Formats: sequence, C-alpha cells, structure tokens
Amino acid sequence: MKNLKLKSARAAKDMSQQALADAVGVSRQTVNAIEKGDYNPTINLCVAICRVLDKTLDELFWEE
Amino acid sequence: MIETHSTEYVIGMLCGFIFVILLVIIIAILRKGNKEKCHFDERQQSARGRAYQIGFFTMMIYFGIYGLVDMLGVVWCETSIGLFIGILIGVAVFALTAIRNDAYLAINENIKTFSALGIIVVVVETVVTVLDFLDGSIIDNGKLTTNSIGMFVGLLWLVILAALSVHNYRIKLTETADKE
Repeated sequence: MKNLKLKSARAAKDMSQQALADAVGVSRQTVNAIEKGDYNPTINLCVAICRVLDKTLDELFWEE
Repeated sequence: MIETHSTEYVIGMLCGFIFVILLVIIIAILRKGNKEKCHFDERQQSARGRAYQIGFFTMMIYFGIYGLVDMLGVVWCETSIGLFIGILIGVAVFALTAIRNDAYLAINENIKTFSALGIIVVVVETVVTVLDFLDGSIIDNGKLTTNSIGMFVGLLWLVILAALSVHNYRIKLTETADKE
C-alpha cells in the first residue's frame, strides 16, 4: 500500500526524495520504495524519517 | 598422468596471486577510511542478502549439471575452467539481482570510477583473448583451456556494465517522473 502520508509530509517540508534520503542516510530509491509501499522500513528508519519531517510514528506510518 | 609446469610458470602464478591479494588489501584499507561516505542502507543490505542467496543456488545448480555432464563422459573444458565458470555464473547472478534492486553499488559510490575500472578490465581481457585466439591456445582438442578464463572475466564485466547502464537509465526516467 502506498504511503501517501509520508509523501505529503515530505512535500509539506519542500523536500525532494533525495534530500530526505540524504537526511536519514539511505538511498533515494529506498525512500521511493517506502512511499510506493514496496519496502517496509525498520523502526529505526521510521523514527529517523519522523524526526526529519517533525512528525510522529502514528502520523506517518499508522494505517487506519 | 600428472601435468607438470615449468618453474617460471609456477613463480608467475604465485606472483599473480600475491599481486591480487595485495590489491584487495589496499582497496579494503582505502575503503575503510571512506566507510561513512559509502555504505549500504537497510533495504540494500536485505536485497544483497537475497541476491547472494540466488547467486549461491544458481552456482550449486551449475555444479550439479557440470558434474552430471562430466560423469556422462562429455568433457568440454579443463576442470579448472569448468569450476571457474561456475563461480563467475554465481557472481553474475548476484550482480544482476543486486543491480535490479539498486543494491550493487553503495550509497555515494562513484559509478564513473567503477565503470572506468570495468572498461579497463574489459579492454585488457579482450586484447588477451584475441591474442590467445590468434595463437590457438583457447581451445585444445575440442576443450576450453585455462587461457579462456580472461574471456569469461571480460564477459562478466561487460554484462555488469551493461546492466548498470540500463538500470541507471531507468532510474533517471523514474526521477523525472517523480519530479513531475
């Protein structure tokens, strides 16, 4: 399932996939795979992404 | 009958092995200092693990078939080259699987440096293979000889470079699509 919440949070911060990838220390393709729902990140990576985007885990990764 | 080699041949082979080992150690030391810059992220590590697995099982299947063909009395190459081809097939499958999942090169690894190295290897191996073909030392009595190793190494690098080029082209296309 696509992670549209992550994509919109990134866009709200005016960050490209590459900028987010550099900030959390992964490749751009990894960020792309997470947004597309092709890859489930570890909790460590989820936390790192949340810190960069100033969001909580629930806000970005909890599915209703 | 045991095949014997001249002293010069044995010394040459030993020097070759020592050179390769030293080269690997030097590259490992140089890469250690660059560890923070070049690393594989968690998705890449996972994809590489899967690629190693597929490469290993492909190699096992090849050796099974190679052994079976050998048992049936069909000898198409020297034993050493038969084994070496198996290793190269395993490496090729690993590389292609890893490239497909964007996990072959580390983050921030310079693809141009890697490609330059690959092109040098391909050119050198092509020259060596052509020279070996001209003096007829690649095939002896209908069997591939150890002199054909260079040809297969060159072929492996060529496949890796081609796969990397195609993959990079696809990445650029998706980058453009993501920006739009």
